[in-house]
Amino acid sequence: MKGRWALNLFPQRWSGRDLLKSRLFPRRASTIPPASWAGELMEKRFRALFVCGSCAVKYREGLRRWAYVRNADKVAQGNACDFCHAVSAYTPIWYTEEQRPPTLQHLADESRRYGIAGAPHLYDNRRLAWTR
Amino acid sequence: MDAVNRLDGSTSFHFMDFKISATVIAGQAVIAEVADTGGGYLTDATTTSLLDMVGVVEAAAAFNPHGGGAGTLTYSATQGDTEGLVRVAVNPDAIYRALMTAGAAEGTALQTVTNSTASAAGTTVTAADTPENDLDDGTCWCLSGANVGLSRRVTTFTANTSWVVTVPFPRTIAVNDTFAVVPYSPLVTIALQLSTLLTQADATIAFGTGGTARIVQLILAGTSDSYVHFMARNHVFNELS
Repeated sequence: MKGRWALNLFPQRWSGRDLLKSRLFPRRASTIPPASWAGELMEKRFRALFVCGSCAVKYREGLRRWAYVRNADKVAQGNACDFCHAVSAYTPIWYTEEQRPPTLQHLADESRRYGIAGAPHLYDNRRLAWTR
Repeated sequence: MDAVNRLDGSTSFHFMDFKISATVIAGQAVIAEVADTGGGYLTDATTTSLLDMVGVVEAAAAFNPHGGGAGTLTYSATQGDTEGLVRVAVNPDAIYRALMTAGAAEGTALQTVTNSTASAAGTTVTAADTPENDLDDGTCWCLSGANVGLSRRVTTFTANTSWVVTVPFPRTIAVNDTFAVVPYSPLVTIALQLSTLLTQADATIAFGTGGTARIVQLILAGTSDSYVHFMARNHVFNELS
């Protein structure tokens, strides 16, 4: 960061990049403890965390370290991010690697092969070899 | 067991975090705690009751808002203990997916029934060991033989003897063809019994037995990887049954 020297905690000049960074990743306020409760939940293998896009970038190392993976489809509707508590219409859900739920693609493949639906002949798995 | 999608096909769920009145694990069914004995809002369903179902536990952890300390996943009346946190998708139209298991224990392979008398019409499966419980109106599917991969609704069931389907299997049911049969039919079945840990579906019970649930779809693969998709008929936020 430009215009900074030792012991000066506040930058003298702000570039556009600095402004953007400060907006996206604001510093922790002194009222917020450094160890977030989301970190504690990850440590305890809490299965499903809501992580907004910004926090997924900001805390990517921690998420990776604790082996959390985002489900391709399942999202939380109207819930708050577990890290920054920002509420979005849809927030991705990150699951522990060992307890991931199936994705829609997995379910569709499974259903196509073995499922029963409105048109059973479509689900005769021998007739659908070309789709695999 | 998982909430996999909703009736409109979407996969967006609204989640709520609740205080618990029982020990819970991820993937189990939970209902509202009507009594105040546990001091929480959620408690275990039972294997035979899904009244006031809230959903399936998406995640659970001992939550200590002050950080640190060992946690517990059950309620505690001791001052200073951590508080159990349970995250549940509360949508009343959620569709849940449960592995079928043979009996109360989790992960037990379904019974394989071996046909002992040929049926050229493709309508009757005969065996001395067809399940004890009445699976009439359930669904059977062929595991091996000329009809492998095909399924039919059971319309007559006689324990330890045979079952009959109205819509024939397209090819002869030969001796030693194998089948599986479960008490579930989409739209038709109105009850589902859970396994002991409340995470899977006991597929050996009689048709129509168990907690209030409506079957939506069946995934009929092998005896240890077949699933039933169901909805709660008596959801806590939509008591329509």
